[in-house]
Amino acid sequence: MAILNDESREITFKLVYTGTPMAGKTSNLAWIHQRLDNSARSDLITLATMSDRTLFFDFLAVESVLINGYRSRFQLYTVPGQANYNATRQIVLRGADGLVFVADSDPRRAPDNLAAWHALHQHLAANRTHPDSLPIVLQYNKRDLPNALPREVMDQSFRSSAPHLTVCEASATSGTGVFNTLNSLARLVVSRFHSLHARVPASL
Amino acid sequence: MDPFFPAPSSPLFMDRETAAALRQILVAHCNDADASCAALIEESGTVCALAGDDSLHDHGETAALAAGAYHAVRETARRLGESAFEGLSHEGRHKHFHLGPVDSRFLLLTVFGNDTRLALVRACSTRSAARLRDCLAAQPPPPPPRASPLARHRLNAEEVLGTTDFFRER
Repeated sequence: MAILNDESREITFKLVYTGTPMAGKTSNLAWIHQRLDNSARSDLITLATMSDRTLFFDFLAVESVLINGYRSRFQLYTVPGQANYNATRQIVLRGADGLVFVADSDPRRAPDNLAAWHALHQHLAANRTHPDSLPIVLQYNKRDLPNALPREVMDQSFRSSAPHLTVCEASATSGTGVFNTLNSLARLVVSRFHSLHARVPASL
Repeated sequence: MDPFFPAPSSPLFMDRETAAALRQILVAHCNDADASCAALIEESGTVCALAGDDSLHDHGETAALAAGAYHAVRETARRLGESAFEGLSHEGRHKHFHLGPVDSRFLLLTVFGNDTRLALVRACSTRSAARLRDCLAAQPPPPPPRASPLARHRLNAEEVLGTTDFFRER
């Protein structure tokens, strides 16, 4: 959860990219790392297998705008998508201030999308976090695939149970939609923090 | 409550006095344990207080890795049926570290060299963790909503709710 340090005038949020195995979670972080100034980001830490599958997590710390004199920092994590990493995924999800769920637009991956979506809800329940209490952005990745599932079809899969979720379309390897996804989640997370702890009217 | 999965933590508001007091405890810890540096790390991998030399110059990344390693090893112990977990240590050729719990949310990372014995670091870590716990517990309760530090200034609505991007590609 967020940490606000009055001495260093810094506020830190934890954002986690989770989702379908091989859907492009690490590609999102790699693009962000590549396209931000060095001064605004840390090194990209990747704990991967020899075949470049995420083993534990990827980590990237990024700095953003000053919020009323407080330097805002966002710690971005990915989790391994594969089912046999359930335990490590649950550990990394703990304390998250917001989530990006990266879904694969490949029609053949539709069952994997749903399995990962249900697994996420199980992890949140195990961490005693209600999904409605956490800002979540759905990213439909790989929209550049020629046979990508229509957005309406993906909406039916995910948003039928959660119509309020923000959706971003992306092609993470080319960078399309990556920053839009990150900015959408950052806005939701900061707005939520502010509404919970400062109670400023949303109509400001 | 299961100590391995405590209830979700709430945001941490750390005032200047607490931050300074935590740093003083870490300075004393470094002196007592003959350590080169020490850091108080929140479970999500954020450094909350730091003292000593610049061994942790990239402390953001190091803290994230340390927190991940700690939780992974602790979870491994739990799955093996071991409920007690006192921390983990690494002995390198020149630099070594010890990572121990402060409470269910915070960790104490101590980095030390060849001239320092691990047993001393462990003993000092246990004592310093108690001091850190007391200091964190003595912190004033979180501010009421309208007294939050952010509320004093009011957020710029454009930054929060509008279209201004928090991040821009170069």
